[in-house]
Amino acid sequence: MGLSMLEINKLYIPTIIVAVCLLVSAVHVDAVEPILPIPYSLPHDPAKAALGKKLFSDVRLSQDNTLSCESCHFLDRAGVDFVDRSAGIRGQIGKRNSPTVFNTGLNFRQLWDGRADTLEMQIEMAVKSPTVMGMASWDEVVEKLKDIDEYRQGFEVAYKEPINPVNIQNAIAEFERTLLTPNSPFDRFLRGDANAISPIAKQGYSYFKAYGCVSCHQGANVGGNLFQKIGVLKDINLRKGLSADMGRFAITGNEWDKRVFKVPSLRLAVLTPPYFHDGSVSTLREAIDIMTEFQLGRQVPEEHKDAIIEFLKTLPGEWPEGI
Amino acid sequence: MRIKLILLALLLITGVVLGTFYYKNNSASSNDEYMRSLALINQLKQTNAALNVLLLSSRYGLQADYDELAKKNVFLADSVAVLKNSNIAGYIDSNVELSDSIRELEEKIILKVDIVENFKAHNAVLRNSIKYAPPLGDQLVEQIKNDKQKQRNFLESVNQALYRWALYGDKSQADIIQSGARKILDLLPLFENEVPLIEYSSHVIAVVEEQEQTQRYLENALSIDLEPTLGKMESLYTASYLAHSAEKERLSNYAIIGYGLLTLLVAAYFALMLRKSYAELEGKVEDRTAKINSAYKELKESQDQLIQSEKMASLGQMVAGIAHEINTPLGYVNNNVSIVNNLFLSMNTLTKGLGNVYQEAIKIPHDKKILSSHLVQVLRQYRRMQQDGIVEEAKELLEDSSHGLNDIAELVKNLKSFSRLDMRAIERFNVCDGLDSTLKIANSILRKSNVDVIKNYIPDALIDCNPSKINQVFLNIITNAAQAIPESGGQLTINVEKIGNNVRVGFVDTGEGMDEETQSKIFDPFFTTKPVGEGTGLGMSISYKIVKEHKGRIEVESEKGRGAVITVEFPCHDSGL
Repeated sequence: MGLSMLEINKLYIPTIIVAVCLLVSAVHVDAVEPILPIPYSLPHDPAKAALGKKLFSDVRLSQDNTLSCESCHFLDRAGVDFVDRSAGIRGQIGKRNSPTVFNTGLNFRQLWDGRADTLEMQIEMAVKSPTVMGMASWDEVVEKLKDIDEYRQGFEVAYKEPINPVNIQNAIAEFERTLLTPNSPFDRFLRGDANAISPIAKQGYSYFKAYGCVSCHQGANVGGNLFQKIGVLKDINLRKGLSADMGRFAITGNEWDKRVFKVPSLRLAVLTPPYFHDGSVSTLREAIDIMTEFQLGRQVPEEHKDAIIEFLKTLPGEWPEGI
Repeated sequence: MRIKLILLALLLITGVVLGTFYYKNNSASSNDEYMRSLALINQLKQTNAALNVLLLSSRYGLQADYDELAKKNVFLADSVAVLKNSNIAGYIDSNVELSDSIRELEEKIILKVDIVENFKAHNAVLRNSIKYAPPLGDQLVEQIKNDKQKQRNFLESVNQALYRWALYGDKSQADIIQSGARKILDLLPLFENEVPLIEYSSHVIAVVEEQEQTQRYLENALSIDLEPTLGKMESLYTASYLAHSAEKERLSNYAIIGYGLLTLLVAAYFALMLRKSYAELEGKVEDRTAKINSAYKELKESQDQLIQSEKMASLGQMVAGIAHEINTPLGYVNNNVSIVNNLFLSMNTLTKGLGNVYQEAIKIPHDKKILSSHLVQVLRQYRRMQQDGIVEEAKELLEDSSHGLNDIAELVKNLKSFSRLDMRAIERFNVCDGLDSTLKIANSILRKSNVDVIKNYIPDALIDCNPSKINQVFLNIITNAAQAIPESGGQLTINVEKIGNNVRVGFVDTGEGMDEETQSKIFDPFFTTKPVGEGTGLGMSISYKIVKEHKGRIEVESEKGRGAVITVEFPCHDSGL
């Protein structure tokens, strides 16, 4: 299959010509910044989000009324619980680390293996998962919530219909779409404020780009918009622990999806240890070590890593109001 | 009646059913759905094109972040579900080709989305290695001592190929890189620090592998062209929709035609019913009219009879009165005549004596003795007659009789005047004359109740009328007044006046009067206060009719026990009416 195949598609020929023409300059010139500022808001309905906020901290969403979403995603602690793998109902330990709920609306898929296409789907799965919230069915959730006045009235007002599985999931998702951290120092830097971050952070950003971290960790969420194999330049089996989870392979069954995960966002990385899908790495420096070794196939001097950490520290922005 | 109700109900139900059908068939939502579906197809086309551009931009480093690419890819992935819920999916049962094209599109999208995700991953790695490896290669070439020219040239050629390939996309260099990549680690003994060479080697291998894969994924992704499938789907969908719309329109037209026909049918039925009932009605009307006519005729006949009988009654009354009026003078005339007749016996004796005297006196010779005895007898008779005043008495009696006969003549004259049978229907008439002759006729009745009649006449109370009819009115009123006055006596005042252009005759009696009910019914036919058999109840109603015929008016005013005032008004003779 060569380029000649493309000639069939006449539409692409001009595109290809333009692309090839620009190829030379493009390799040298890094004119486009790979990281974008976080938008100030995502489209959402405030009334629905308000309902979602209540539901987010409602333990009735769990089978034994012990857990709420907030049990693993502390809203006042960058949306994580700081343990490697979170405990579901009856102390069951899950397989993977809880990622932050902040900025998760910017991710292209949800969950480490991206099996949830939307936030709503992720919520649907978490509540029904026997090891997380453990509800037998969503009808049971509705049954538990439908007679509570604030929900009955709230859903009637926000959705013009009685409470049901779909609108509960949507309400929580709407709330989560409000959990953005815009206007970080780095975003201000991107928007033209050259003094918003320190020189060393700027240096760190250039290393971040130069070593190729930015190949995967890019976009507004500094990641969260593609899948990537863990261990592209060095076999991850050489390191104990991280190789056990097969990632997307469990879903697709494709050989090439083995140990493929969604690239996590680094927006709140400095605030949300431990790291990686199993939370097995407790420090950022250690995480950078693993990344440079297995993903970049490079040795990176320690002071460069320090600079990169200084850069990463400029990524968290302002917390949403009322959290 | 039941059939009509059933028909109406049927029309209503059919109307509602057809109306609902029509409304549903023609609701704008169907068209909106169609437009939305077309918009979705269009959006998919644009997304697909944009995605292809982004793939190339990402591949050649024009696009540094995957946000847009990820967004487009997610949109494509989600569109599978969106398509299944769209209006397009509603036509897959009726259109196998459409169904196939949707399935084909779904398969393509799923495949493409997956390939794009793989492309993103491999492209990221490739771009890293492409960027990192060539400068590192330059450094490593520098580190090889000049005496190892061959090895140096080898590494240089590999790195040059890498540069060419990276900078210019020169695919002809691929073989050199590929074959060289495996031999790089052979140079390890030349380096004190082996790590950079190992890194270089792994990056060159990564470039080789990732280049191959990235390119394959890119080409595969680009070769999965959604455009033709979308185009096919669009045209199939449009055809299906239009066919369906045409069908719906046809059905709508049938619905309208059906409804129209039904309405016509029902209208025709009702028209027929209407016609039928109209004919019936006409027959009924004719029937009724005939009945009414005959009833009217009967009524008229009976009314005529009643009027006739009222006339007869009035006549009877009149005749009785007149008979009485004639009877009185006739009685004393008769008496006088018989008395005069007796008186004539003495006259006869005297005449006889004179005849005897005359017989003896003419005898030659006459016997003086006999003559003188006859003379003595005549003288005696004369004396007796002188003594008895027979001649004066007879004269008186005859004069008296003459007076009685005059009265009768006068009455007859009034009778003639009252009925005026000899005169024209309408003529100039003095109501006072009419009143006088009427009073004469009614004299007996008036006398019977000892009624004092007071007349307040004016000289020229002239009207144009049928006198006998007007007299009939007057007689009626006067008779009623007389009857209302008790036998102990009373007054009837007749006032004749001229009010404007009218002649007004007021009859004021001192009789027993009338209550309000009687007043209100006084002109009604057959209304009477008299005992059964004595009055017809038509007198006043006929009077009312007569007055109206003369463009006049008649009014009654009374109070029980206080007498009554009947006022009759006629236009003057010279009023122009």
